[in-house]
Amino acid sequence: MGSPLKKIMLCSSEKEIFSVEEQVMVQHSVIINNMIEDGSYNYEESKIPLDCVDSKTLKKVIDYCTYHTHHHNDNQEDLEAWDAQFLNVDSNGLYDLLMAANYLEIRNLLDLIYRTIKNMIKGKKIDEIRRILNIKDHGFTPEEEEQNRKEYPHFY
Amino acid sequence: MVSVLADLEKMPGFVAGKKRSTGRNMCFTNLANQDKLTSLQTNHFFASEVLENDDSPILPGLPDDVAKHCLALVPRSNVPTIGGVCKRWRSFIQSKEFITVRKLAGMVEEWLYFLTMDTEGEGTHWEVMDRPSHKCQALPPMPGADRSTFASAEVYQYDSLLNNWSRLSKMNVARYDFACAEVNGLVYAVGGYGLDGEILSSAEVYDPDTDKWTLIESVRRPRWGCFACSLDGKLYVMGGRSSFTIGNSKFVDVYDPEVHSWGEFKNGCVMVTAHAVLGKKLFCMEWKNQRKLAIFCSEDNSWKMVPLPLTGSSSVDFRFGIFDEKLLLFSLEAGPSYQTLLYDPNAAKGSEWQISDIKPSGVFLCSVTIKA
Repeated sequence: MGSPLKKIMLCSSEKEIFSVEEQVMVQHSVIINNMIEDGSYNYEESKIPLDCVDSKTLKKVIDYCTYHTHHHNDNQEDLEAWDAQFLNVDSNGLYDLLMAANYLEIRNLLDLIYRTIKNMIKGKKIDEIRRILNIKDHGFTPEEEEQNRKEYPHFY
Repeated sequence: MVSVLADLEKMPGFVAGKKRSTGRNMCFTNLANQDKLTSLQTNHFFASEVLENDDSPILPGLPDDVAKHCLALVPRSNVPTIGGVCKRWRSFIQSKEFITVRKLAGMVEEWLYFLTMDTEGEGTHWEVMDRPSHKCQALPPMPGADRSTFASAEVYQYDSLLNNWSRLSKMNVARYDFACAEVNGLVYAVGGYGLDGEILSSAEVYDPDTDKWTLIESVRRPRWGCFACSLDGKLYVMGGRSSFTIGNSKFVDVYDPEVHSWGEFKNGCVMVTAHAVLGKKLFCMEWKNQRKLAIFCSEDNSWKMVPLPLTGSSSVDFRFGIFDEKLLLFSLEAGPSYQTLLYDPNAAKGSEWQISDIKPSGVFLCSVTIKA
């Protein structure tokens, strides 16, 4: 666990530097926690390069970790409302966050995004899922698609 | 008459029927063999990966391994719908990898299926029990099949994820009233009557990966009306008769897939009206002894009798089901006083027996449990 005042530097794919309270990242990211613990991070010189995370996504990830560090005592309902607002982005924005959370091993954010994607699919009709998830080519032949629509009209 | 068996997410159904009044149905669940099936699935996964590389992504914008995890999180009841979203999703759902990913994600759901008599008593249909409400819902009818023939080689598979039936390769030998079970991912069919009513000793095995039936060594003597189960990676065939004149067979035929041959011993139970496998044990109910569970342990080929906690009228007839690692005993008698009994072999002594509120909607013949 890092000291509350220490800062670490994160570097996005656009080489933009973000300065973050160490404990915010240590608490949430398994990868960064490991780097700090094994001493591979040098406070004077290091910045952690995150080549596959763009600035926009990295900023969101830091927002998430910061909020959850400082509001972990809030009641569940408020946190969930904040999360819902936080993830109110299009599927591409969601995927970018998912990849960043996956790379940094931020487990609670990862779970949250997986749950959100699941809810974009769960209980939805096929046409709606295709639209939300931007699936343009379904790959069925026109006959297969027609057969399916005829056989399972309630799926569409 | 239909006999079925669960291959984790699929159940082949055999059509062979002139009458179903005897209701001697073979049913089998493979709870004990899931680990072995998983290793099969893993191999399959690599094979399918190579094939699918050229295809469009599962979720545009996400690597497939991450997208697969997303799809695996969807509740089982939604899977038939999402199978129609695109071809890529459908082929992933149909792959063995789908179950593997669902297992890793802790999303596998156990569903219980019943083969139930129609209310008119004319035919049968499959239904599935809804998990929270315990209400039963009919599956789409099994396709095809001229059910008036005496014996049939036709085989159908029910895909429990996509909720549909498909035709598989025919068996080499048309059969009726035969034994059937799955062992290590392969499906075996043994004995029964043939097309001319002759009693069969032939046996064959089905490989789901190749969709092929292959004859294996025949059993030593013909037998029909028998049932089969998988215990400890071997196929056990019990019950039934070897001829119309000689009485019930006490022989147990045991097939070892590793050495491709049969062995036998002679302390099987006879006139079995219900059977189910749970863990390494086989549970049977004998027609003449409806107040006792006969429990077979394959480690030492021994039988143990456990009395049912019942008093009063002796005319009770049970069918078995497996759910949540427990044995369910469904009474064939209707009425509120006939409750479903639950036997938990792992419970503390004295509390193995309980009452369950799980009940089929009508008279049912057999059940299958599928985790997917």
